[in-house]
Amino acid sequence: MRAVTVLGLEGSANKVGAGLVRDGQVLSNPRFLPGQTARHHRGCVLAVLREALQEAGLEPADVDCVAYTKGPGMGAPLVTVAVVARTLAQLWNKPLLGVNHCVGHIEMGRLITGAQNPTVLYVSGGNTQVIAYSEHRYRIFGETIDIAVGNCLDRFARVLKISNDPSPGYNIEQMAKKGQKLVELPYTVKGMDVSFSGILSHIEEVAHKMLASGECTPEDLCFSLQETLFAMLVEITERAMAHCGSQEALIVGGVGCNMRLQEMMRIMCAERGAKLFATDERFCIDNGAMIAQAGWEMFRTGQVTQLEDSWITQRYRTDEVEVTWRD
Amino acid sequence: RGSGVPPCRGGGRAVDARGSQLEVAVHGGGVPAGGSQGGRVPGGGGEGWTCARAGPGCKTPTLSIPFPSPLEAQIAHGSLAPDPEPRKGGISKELTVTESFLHVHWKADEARILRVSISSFLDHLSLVIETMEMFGPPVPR
Repeated sequence: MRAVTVLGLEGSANKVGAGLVRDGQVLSNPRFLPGQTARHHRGCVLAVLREALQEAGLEPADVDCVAYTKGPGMGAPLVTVAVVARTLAQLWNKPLLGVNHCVGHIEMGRLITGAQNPTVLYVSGGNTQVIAYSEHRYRIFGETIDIAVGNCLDRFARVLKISNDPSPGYNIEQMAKKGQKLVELPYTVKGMDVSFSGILSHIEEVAHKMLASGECTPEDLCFSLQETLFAMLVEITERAMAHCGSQEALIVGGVGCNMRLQEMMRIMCAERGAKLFATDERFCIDNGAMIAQAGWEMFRTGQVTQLEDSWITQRYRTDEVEVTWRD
Repeated sequence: RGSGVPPCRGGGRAVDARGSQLEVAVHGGGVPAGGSQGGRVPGGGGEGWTCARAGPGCKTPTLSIPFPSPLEAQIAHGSLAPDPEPRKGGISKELTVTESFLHVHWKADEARILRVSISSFLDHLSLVIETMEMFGPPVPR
């Protein structure tokens, strides 16, 4: 069977990426990072697309289908990328594939790590879900009932005026390594779900007081916040794994880059005799190749998106997708 | 290109998707959309905005954009038509194609809502044209 090459375009938040994947091989995956989102995407998307083709050494004629993020995400950048994807698909007369952003993360995680049937912890600035596959759906076992864990970390960074370069989460992680004191913070696991807005408003309220009184350092707060947030995530993941009898866990999404989170998850997995899978920042953080990979899976099982159905949507549940490519 | 509601006054340059510049026309009320006149002058422009009635404050403008071919106008339509207006009320737009023209007809309750929609549309149109220039012409069917 002839190899299928898929172009994937991603731009649901503040990253814009283009990736080319051919039969499970990532040929290129350039990505541009933060800027003033929609306007930034508009200026960048064609550039990152050209870079993807150049890096892979391919011509437009080599692309078999065009995949893009249908949702979920922020409306303006989603439309910007979708408009380009539709134009390319029509110019090249190739099929179009609207991909769910979360499914993109899962499929890239599976491809890169080789995990067979893991319980997935998807954690990013915009999403926090525990997912397990069952009968052609990625079922959401647990999720945040308010904000995403990455959002909580980003907003905490603002309270302490921690730099955004390269990302607030990365800087919190580095500071946390120097933390010495565990400050008690609200722990809010609710059954299979988690809540983060309470811990955020609590820490917003007490942070300045505690720092002013010398009760703790900013590093202590970073450390304490991470330990608390990540313990909550480990708990709901473990709960799902116990429910499914799962021997594998996979972390995907930008927050998955965090080494402390990976460490805590690894410890929990080891205690259960299970294995942890995680990717590095090339694939944890939003990128085009993950959209291409999910598109490839969809395409080879005959799924295609008609133009009139290609509208973007800010809300798109992971379990709305028919996972036709798995048994 | 201005960012306000295009006033329905005479003069200005044509909206033209054939070159690398996207220039917005400002035409008085009563000028019909280009496609209905037949016999186009190549490079002649003259298309652009029309309104249901002349004068500023028109909230139902129509914009007509010429493309190099009917296929390219169809492609632009295919790229720009699928997404709904982000705002749930007070604005609607309809995209149609005749020959090599893409027509966009807006209906808005308020000028400021219209302004946002037009501005956003022109951004996306510009991106479609840029994409066509970089990766076009369309492969033969």
